[in-house]
Amino acid sequence: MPMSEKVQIHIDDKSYQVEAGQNLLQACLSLKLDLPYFCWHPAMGSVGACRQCAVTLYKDKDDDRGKLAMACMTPVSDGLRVGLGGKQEQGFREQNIAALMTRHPHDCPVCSEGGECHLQDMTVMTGHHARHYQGQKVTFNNQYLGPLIKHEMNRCITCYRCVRFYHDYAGGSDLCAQASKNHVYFGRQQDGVLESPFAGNLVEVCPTGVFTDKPFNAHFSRKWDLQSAPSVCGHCAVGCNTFISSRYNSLRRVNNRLNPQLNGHFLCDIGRYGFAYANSPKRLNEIKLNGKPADWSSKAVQEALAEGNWIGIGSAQASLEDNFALQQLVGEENFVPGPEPAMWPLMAMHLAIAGQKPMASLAQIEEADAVLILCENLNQSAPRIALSVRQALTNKAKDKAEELQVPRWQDAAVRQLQSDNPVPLIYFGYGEQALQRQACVFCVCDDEEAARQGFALANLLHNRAPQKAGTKVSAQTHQAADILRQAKKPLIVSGWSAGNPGLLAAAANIAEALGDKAMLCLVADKANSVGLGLLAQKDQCGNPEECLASANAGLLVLADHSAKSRRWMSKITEQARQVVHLSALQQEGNSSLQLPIAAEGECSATRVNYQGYAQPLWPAVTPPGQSLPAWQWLVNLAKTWGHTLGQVEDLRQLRARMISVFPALQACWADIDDPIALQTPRVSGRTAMLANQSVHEPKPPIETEAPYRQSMEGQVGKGNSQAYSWWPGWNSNQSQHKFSQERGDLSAALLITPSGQGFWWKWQSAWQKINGYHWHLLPYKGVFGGESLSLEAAPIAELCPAPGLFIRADDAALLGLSEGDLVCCDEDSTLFELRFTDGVPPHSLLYQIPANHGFSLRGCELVVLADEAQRHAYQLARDTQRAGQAKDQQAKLRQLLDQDRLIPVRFIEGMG
Amino acid sequence: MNQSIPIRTLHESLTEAEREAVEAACSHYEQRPAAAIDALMIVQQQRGWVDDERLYALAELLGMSATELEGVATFYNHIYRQPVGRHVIHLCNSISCWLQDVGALEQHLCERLSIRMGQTSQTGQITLLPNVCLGCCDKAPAMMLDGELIMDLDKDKLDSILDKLQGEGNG
Repeated sequence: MPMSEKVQIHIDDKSYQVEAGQNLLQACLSLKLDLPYFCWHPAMGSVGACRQCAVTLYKDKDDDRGKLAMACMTPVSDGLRVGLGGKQEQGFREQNIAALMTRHPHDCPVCSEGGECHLQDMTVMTGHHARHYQGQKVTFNNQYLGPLIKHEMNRCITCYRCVRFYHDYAGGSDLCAQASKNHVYFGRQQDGVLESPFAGNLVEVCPTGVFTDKPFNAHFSRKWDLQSAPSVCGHCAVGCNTFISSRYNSLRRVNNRLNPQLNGHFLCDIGRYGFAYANSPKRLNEIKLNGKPADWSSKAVQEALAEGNWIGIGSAQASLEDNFALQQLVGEENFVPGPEPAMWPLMAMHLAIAGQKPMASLAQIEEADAVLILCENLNQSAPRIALSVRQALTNKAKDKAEELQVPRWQDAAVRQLQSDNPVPLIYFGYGEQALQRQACVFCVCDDEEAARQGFALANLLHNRAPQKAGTKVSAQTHQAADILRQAKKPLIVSGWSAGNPGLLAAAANIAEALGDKAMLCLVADKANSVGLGLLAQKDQCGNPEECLASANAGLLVLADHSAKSRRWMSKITEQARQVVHLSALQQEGNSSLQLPIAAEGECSATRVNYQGYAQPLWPAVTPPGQSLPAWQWLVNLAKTWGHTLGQVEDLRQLRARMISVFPALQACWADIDDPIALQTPRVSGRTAMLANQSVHEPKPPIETEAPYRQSMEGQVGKGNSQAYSWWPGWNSNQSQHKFSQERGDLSAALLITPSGQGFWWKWQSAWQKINGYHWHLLPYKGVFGGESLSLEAAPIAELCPAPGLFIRADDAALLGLSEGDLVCCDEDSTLFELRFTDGVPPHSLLYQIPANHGFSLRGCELVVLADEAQRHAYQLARDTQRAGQAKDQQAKLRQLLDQDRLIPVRFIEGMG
Repeated sequence: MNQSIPIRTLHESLTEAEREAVEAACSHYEQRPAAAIDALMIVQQQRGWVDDERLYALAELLGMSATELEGVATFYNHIYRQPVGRHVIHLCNSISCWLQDVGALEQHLCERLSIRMGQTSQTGQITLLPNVCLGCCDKAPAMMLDGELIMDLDKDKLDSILDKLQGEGNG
């Protein structure tokens, strides 16, 4: 049934028009009616487990008895007659919650969920305000679940949402329902770190405080005291929408902000916990000249920044504003799009393809009925997309259910049908992570072979598609062609993670060969890679290599924190006259001047996601110490040079200049007339929290252009403009479940308009790797440790695995190596733990290494077993590193807690 | 994954007969994890209960995670994840038995064996467990002794059963 069709239903004798195909609970919530529930979730459908959303169904107008039914399990139909506020159903709902609460310890004052707890909201809503249960409560042992999630099992009301998310939706196998009856327990077989990279969502999925945010608990604030702002995740190219929250001017947590086109209701753990790099001990808070604190107006600093021949190196980790200001300041011909030359051709290819074909959103990805992944390590490069691909795999089961007259949202029925109605997933590439394991066709090959087979596949699908001569078409490619031909909505996924532009071209050719039915998704490298590419695409831009060759240039660098860019930077800084880093974190070595810049959540910014959507993010705090937004430093510098950029007075004027280059950006920063408050109406301590320094209430920091106020003055905001999730009576994030269908009003602007013109890419010899080594080393990043910024966040660093080298078991047997051995490649100093997997192409090894660890080999002759001394040194180094991390984290936490007691004077306007 | 118990191969953890029986059970189903209950019962029949090491071995053999198998094992109260005595009594505590005063019988059992519900007698002879409905409400109160249903219980009947069991223990 198409979703736009309307039916008429009667609730408490009032008539409403609602969309057909949904369930009654959804319909009631969309009508702004309050109906309590626990187990239903808009993204996970209905199972009818908690019995909370009871309503009375009447046969017709004359029926005065009716029967109780669960709204979440009742499809809406024309003429449906429902009682929502009658004695019968209200009494049932009150008693149901009373029964659920017999297990609950009523420990709200010490529970970190208190104040944003769905169970609290629902209990109040049902009117269950007196405790009658006299019996004993069941008590449980809690488990250690790793550094991200705290477990408090006594609070459970057995709605089963946690396992439905973790196990069914996200595919984690280490959290299940245990035992039965009144002893039901949600946990692991034994204590241990939760394995899924989506575990953090349990915090929001659990309607009460069983799973809570551990790092947030360590530096806690009630939700009503938090100052939150709408933000966008900066750890990959998807651009998931988030709320970033602070108290006493320090960032506390990130949680999900509903964007139906992108992240929906869920984030990955990198996005949820990675923000803490802003609180890292490595944070740069002051200007540093040759490693020592310095003053902006000092002669030494001004001399270091004197006008002259400057090259600007942009960063995909920096915002569009920062990169734009840098480009304006140094001139387009002197602007280099980032310190990783391998990314430049990928950037150009991505933009060229995005200029022809639209990139599928995550919502569209979830509609696919066949998926081809071309050598993209989605699990690391864009975990949230991997989660959406996983949802697409249920589509045939949903179709089958509908065929059997069962609604698509009947989750338990759909899960039953899934094993017999699989959506085909085809994987060309290497590795062994969740998605690879689900592939029905898996061709183990390296990136070059995947690109060749991609070209061959396009040629099989369309005879005009060019083919690389001499390609031996694999059996899997023929299978893939058959599957894709039959599919109605095939999805082609590739990306930058293998570093080969040929993969992007192959994916574009396959999509072209399949015609209009195909969806294409290319995953860029970093949060603003596409934005940086758009700036670099302008006609005036010089060739980066040429402009870098100019002698005696100074380098103005927007920091990029990956080891790869550090390696390249160290090469080019040797000839530089002067190196100036604009960075949020301290730079090691080769930088003579460091200017501290605002991090995530500390200034307004804009980033462009993999599709070309520019999304604004707003600050929840002011930048610490001497930090300023990078564009502000550049404007200040322009002033001393007498450059035209120096005429920019504030963000509004900078953005006006950006709009003249990218007119579409206008929509992204659309004005909101009435400012929206970032604080809740009941935030506490407003007049008292600075009283130890001044009895006058300080003026809240004001940022021009931002439609938000860092105070409690202003409106609460509606839909996507809200600064935190809230609705009258709904204090938890479940308030977002209300009217979730109506939240289309996103302030995002598409900067790339696809032409829709067909184009065939031809094979280029540059995509071929000439590698004469015995073993080819292929990069294979893990979720934790694969992204450089989040590695500076303590809980993520704790989860980062040791460097690993993956080998086929039979190859290892020939070399006499066994799993867990400590090895190195030729004479390289990096030691790897050896692991076995079948997902390794012939003559290859996969290396997994933290993003901040330098490793440059592309191949090796020998895999060498470490000797006793090396093993000992390795263990020692790891232990020292762990202890150091723990110590740093403790020290930083103590400092933050101290800061809460004594707000720095600079927080007060005019006293900084 | 598991630190407290040394990792052993399937060969060491399960006997060949056990592995063969599990494989035979798997062949009856489309998917291997579907044989989970059969596999747990096979091990339990051999060893009286299912310990952690056997649980991990079975999970590997069935192609499921240890947590998933633990969920199955702990759901059913006739699969024991702790050592039990030579004989296991499941005393029904559902409504019909309750109306027929199973409470008094439970008290009697506990006193005679000097244990509480859920415990094993000191000699390791008898384990006492509760059970939700044994399905013979017309012949309540009822219990199950080593898989055998015993109905229309009263104190005398219970005593004679216990005498027999305990006599066997002494002899």
